[in-house]
Amino acid sequence: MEENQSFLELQVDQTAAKNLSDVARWARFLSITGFVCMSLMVIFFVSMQSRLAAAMSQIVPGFSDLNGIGVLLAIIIIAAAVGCLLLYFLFRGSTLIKRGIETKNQEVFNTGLASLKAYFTMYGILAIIVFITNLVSIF
Amino acid sequence: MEQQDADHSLFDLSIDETAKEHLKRICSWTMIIVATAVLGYVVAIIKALMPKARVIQSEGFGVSVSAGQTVASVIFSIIIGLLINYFLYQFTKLAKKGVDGMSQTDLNAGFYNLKIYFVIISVLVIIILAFFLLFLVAVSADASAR
Repeated sequence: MEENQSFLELQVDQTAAKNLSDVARWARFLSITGFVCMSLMVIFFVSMQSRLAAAMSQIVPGFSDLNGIGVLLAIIIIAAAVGCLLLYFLFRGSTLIKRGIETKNQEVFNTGLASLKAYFTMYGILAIIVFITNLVSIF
Repeated sequence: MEQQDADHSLFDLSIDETAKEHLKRICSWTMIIVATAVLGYVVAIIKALMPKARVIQSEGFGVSVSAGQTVASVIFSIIIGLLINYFLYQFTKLAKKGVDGMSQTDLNAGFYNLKIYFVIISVLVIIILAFFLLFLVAVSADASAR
């Protein structure tokens, strides 16, 4: 009876395993590229601080007086940290799903799915925040 | 015997209750992502049709700040965005159908669409990085020529 039940369950068959492995490979590529881009962005802003301050003070009067560059840098670092956390979930999810399929380990596979869930949850929350910000900016 | 071994090796991993729960939650959030993206495109169109640039006066010097995008660039972004989100929507629809209806075919089709979604984003990232690299090379070449 139990054996018959297991055949009626959804399985990670060859097609699903191939598709999920490809998902994991591309997701891993995206997360690594994202980490590199985030790091380069932070390095760029830190090294170009003085030039940015000069450019911003032309647009926003009194920008340098208000210690604006420090605030701008803090915002960039926070944004990069949030982005890195998002990419970490994607990286962890892709790595564990791939490992779970290769080693046929159900627990590792499920943990990978949990990380992918965390990635899409965080992505969804950020999407809602960005949408509300965009909506508010119209008025 | 060999056939039995092959079947066994294929069925070592299953979509158990925990995996189903994770997949359902993933589907819920991807649906929210698709919905906010589509609503965001509507907002982007409205913003693009509004006045595009404002001039900020700074100590007697007029500094023009572009505060909007052109309609053409918005439409281009929306087409790319719709293409990406179509595959995410297909994943959501098929994976949910597969998990709820215990359909292996639908679940596999859902995973295939998720793969296409990540492939398109990756290709776009590669193209953007290539353009950015070209821009950097052009800027450095221009600086060294001066």
